[in-house]
Parts: sequence; C-alpha cells; structure tokens
Amino acid sequence: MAEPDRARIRGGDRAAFGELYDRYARAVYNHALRLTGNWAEAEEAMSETFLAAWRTRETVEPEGGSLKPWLLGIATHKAYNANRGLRRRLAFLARSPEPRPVEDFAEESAGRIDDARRLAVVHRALGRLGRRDREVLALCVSAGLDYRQAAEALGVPVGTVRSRLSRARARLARLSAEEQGRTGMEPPRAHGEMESEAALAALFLREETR
Amino acid sequence: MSEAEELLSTPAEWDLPPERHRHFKDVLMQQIDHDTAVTPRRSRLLRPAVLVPLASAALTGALLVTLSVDGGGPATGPAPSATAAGASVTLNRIATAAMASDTVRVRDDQFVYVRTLVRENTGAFTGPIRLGALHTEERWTSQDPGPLRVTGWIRASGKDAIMPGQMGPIESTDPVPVGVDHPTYRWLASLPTDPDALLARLREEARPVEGESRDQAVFSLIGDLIGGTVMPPANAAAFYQAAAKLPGVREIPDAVDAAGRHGIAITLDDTGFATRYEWIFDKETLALLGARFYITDPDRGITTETLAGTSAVMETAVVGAKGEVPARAAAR
Repeated sequence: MAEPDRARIRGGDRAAFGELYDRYARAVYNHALRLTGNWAEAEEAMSETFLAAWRTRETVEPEGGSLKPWLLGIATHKAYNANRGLRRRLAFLARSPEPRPVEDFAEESAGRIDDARRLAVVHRALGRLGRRDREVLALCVSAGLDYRQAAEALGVPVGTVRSRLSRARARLARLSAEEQGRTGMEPPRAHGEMESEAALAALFLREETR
Repeated sequence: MSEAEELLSTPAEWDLPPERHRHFKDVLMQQIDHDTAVTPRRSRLLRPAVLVPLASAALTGALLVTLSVDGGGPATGPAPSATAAGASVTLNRIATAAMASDTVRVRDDQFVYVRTLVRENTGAFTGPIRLGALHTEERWTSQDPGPLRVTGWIRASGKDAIMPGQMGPIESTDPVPVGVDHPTYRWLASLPTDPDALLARLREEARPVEGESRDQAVFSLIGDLIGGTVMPPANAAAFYQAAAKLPGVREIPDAVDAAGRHGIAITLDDTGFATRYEWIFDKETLALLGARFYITDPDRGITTETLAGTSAVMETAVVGAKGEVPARAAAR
C-alpha cells in the first residue's frame, strides 16, 4: 500500500482515496480509539474522518510528505466531537469503554475482552489529562508523529507542540507520582504487570520523540 | 515488555474485522461516486458556473432562443481580446438595468426554479478536457432557511446528462445554514446594498482555494450568488457595482453562451490561476445570459486556455414545490 500521490488526492481521484483508506484506516481507527475509548465512537470517527478527507481534499497542500498527519488531524477533531456527543448522551460510557459486541467465534471474544481492558488502561490515562495534552500525546507518542507532523495535524506551530508535549509529560509525571503515593506501588519496572495509569505515564515520560 | 508499553510501541494495536473495514471503505466510495455523479458543487475549480438573470425573470421570455439539436456551442479557442477600461462602465450599466427590473418576491416555502442549457467537461479530473454534448439542466433551490442537508434538487436531460431524467438532491453531509452555500432570496435581500459594504462582506465570505487570490475568489463568489438565485433589484445592482470595483475586471466585446447567443462578457484578468470565468450579458437588455468557464493547467496537459464549461439560462421562475415547472416549460 503505497502512499497515494497528493495531486491525485487533491484532484479527487477515486482510486487514490481507496488507497488512502487501505493505508491509513487502521492508524486512524487506533488514534480515534485512544481518544474516544469507545469502539462504536471510534468506528464512527474513523468513517467520518475519511468522508471529511474527501470533502476537504482541496485543502491538502500540493507539496509535502505523508498524508497521515492530515488524516490524524481530522480524526482528532472527530474524536473530540464524538466524546462531546457521547458525554451528552451517556456520561458513563466515556469513562468505561465497552467491549465490542461478541460475534461468531468464542476464541475471539476472549481477545476482545482483553482488548477492552487494555483500551481502558490507555483511555483512562489519557482521560485524566486536558484535551490539548491528550491530543498531543496521542499524536506524538502513540501514533508516532514527529513534532512537525503533529503541528500539521493540530494546525499549530511546531513550538506549540513542543511546549504542549513537555507540559503534558510534566502532568503525567505528577499524576504518576500521586498514584504511586496513594497506592504504595513500587516504581514501574521494565517487566511484570503494569497496567495502571502510573505505569503508562512512566512510559510516556520515557518515550523519546523524534 | 509491560502491557502498557506494548500498547504504545505497536503503532496500530487494535483493528476492525475485515468486514467492518470493507463496510466503511464502501461508505467512502459510495460518497465519492455520489458526489462526482450528482453534486455539481464537487469542486469550485471544476464546476462550470450556472448563471441566472437575477431579478430579471421577466426578461428571460424575450431572450428565449430556439436551439438546434446539436446546440452550436462555442468552440475551444484562445482567450478573446479584452478591455479593462470598459468593464467598470459596463458593470455599472448592468447594475442600472438590474435596478430597473421587476421585483419578484420569494417566500421561504417556495423554490427558485432555473432551467439552463449546459455543456460540461466529461473528461477525467486529472486529464484533458472533453466537453460533453449540450443538455438541459433544471434546478429547484430551496428557500427554507434551514440548516438543510438537501438545499435543492437537480434534473438533467439529454445526451451526456448525468442520470438523465432523474431528480437528484443537492446534498451535503452536514446541514447547511443560509449563506453563501445556501443563498436564499431572504438571505440575499439581507446583504448590504452599498457596493463598498457588500464588497467588504464578500471579501470576508470568500474562501480562496489553493493558488487563488482573494479577488478571484470574490469574483467567483459573485458569479455563484448571481447565478441560480432571485434577489431584490437593489441587491442585484449592488453585486454588479461591487464587481466593478474588483481590480482586473475586463470586458470582452463579444462572447457566446451555451445557447449560441452573443453578448458582452465580463471576466477577471488571468493572474496565473488555473481557471477563468466569463459572465455573458445581452448587449441590449444587459440581462445575464450565461457563462463560460476556461481552464489552463499544464499539470493536466492543458497548456493553452481551453473551454471547460458553458451555460445559458433559459428560464427562471418561482415555484411551489420541487419538481414543479412553470407552465411554459411544462407545455414543451
């Protein structure tokens, strides 16, 4: 799955959008999942992201690298809107991700419950931060964008990404310390069971951004 | 490796089942097919202007021209000679004529009906222009202030028409409030009638696309707003007076609309942007006859300015419902 050419995307080439979907649907879905913490909302946000990409194709810069920052930028807004809508409708869902409905295969359902638990870990950690901190962490740390790409996705200067990320990390560090102080947990180790927010926070702190 | 670390070091940890991916990809492809087949607003660059003699519905009867079957549309050719000096004078004469036209009132529950003759590009977006055959297009524009997902309906008929004979919605994914994308009579009537104030407002509303100057975007926007709409004469006049103030407006002494009618054209100087519109007016009555749309895009292999669309307004009316046509058109 090659990166579709920007000119083809700008020109509304149907096949190019098919390639764009094949290449990035999974990354967009994961980004939306981390930010919404909800399977159904993430699906919807992903679908809406590609529809919005189609509608706003003319805004793509003719020159540039990967289209991933553009898509994740759209997905960030869609996830934010989904979260707002979700909170209006069912406040508890945002805090407690539900597993996807179990389908045909029994062996899959075990995997999905595990998925749900793991998603809950990530979403709870991100959920304790403010929107801007959460978004910059999800883009830079989880989705693997560099500062410049994250700046492109969020439509802010690179310096802003840098300062938001450092602030977000500081907040995570504080949360992590509070968590450990409260529970008396040992500091996170390189192996063993680590699924608390503190462990995740520690990971964010260690992660080097490119 | 810890679970949390695993969650983050794997770029895409979760995924949808393949059938869900197929479903959402299908949703995208259907939207693309829908937009490229039905929605004429798919792209400002590629959309031929469809223009209507605003507030001059009374004049259109006199301007009706019987067409031969193959239409005799204009041929592709180099840009005609143009004069800048006359453009402002002519636009102000056009404004005066618009001001003198009859007032047509439109209620929120009615539709503005427009019947045009058009030739459109049937080539691929990224390739050379292939101008299709002349065909009829009818539009019903909702006057409901909304916000609306469906702001109007369109029906094309004839060779090279898209979905001939079928009514198709002019649809947006998000509901559209009254404004530049949903210009109702009442909204147009609410705009300033002072040309400077109107121009300032249009400069705010215009959204230049990549490579387009704000003046070019304003010129296109005026074309969009005077086309397919009905508005009070004072507002129509203000639009032309505002256009007269745009740097680079030029007059072309002779131009032909899609119906083969000759008139005076107003255009905006080509300043390197890929497209150029011409609005064509009757030499005597100064009513808007139609439009032509040219494109130059070396990236697509279009190295000389090429006609990419042309239209002619044949009838404008106010009707009670979508699909309803004025008596004369119904008798045809």
